[in-house]
Amino acid sequence: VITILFYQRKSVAEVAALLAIPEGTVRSRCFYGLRALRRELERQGITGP
Amino acid sequence: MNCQMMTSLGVYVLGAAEPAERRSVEAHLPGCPSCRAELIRLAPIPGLLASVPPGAVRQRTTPPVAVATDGSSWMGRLRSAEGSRRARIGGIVTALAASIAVAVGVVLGASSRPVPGGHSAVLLSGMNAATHVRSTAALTRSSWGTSIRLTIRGAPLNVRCRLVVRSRAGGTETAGVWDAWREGPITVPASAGWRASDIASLQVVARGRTLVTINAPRHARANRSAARRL
Repeated sequence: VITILFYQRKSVAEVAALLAIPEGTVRSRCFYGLRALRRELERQGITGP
Repeated sequence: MNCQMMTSLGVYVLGAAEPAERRSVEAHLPGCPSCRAELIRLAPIPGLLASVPPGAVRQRTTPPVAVATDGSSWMGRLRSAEGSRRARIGGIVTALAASIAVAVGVVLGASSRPVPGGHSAVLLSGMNAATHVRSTAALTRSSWGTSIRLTIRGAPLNVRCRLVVRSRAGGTETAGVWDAWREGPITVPASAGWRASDIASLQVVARGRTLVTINAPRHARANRSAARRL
């Protein structure tokens, strides 16, 4: 979800249609995915580009 | 999670929220300390993602044991992996984090970076001699308006910056919010509800002061080769 939203610049509705999931699920997966990503990056000691 | 607006922050910070959702997030933020705190924690992620070549992410995040249903698209493979998705999410996150770790090491400081997706982009730039802030914006058409990739140099460290977009018709939108997390050039994603040709200017504002203004000439043209030089 994150990679499609960010790298392919798709909208929430487009990602929902593409993956056949509700828009709310796109939002929550995006949010929890980013959170998980932040935790993993913090664990590796990366806090900025 | 203690606020139902919080799940919108993910698409908001990626610049993928549509204008109505972006406005509702912005209307909500001043009154919600927990969402503000969460947004600040997520703020560096788009810059980190932008430092990863998309091809590297695609390779590393495709689950190796997932069988392609259509034999072609990686998204098809992701869809087909839905059944055992949860077991893999940790692995995908780790792989994406690893891609970022590699990119931060390899790409940092590189002056040449393709616009993701390779679409033709309108390139604009501006500088402010008083604040010593310079900025370049690549505007790409999207289904909801315009995707903006803003590169900014010289912004004060750890200060909340906003990108304010003005339309030729006189409207304004906040297209993105971020904290300048390092002194070198940073790239932030943003989006506006207007087409690129309807955008008159972009302004980076911090603490009520305009750091830099980028004016869009009326006949700015999409330029694929210029986009590569960004």
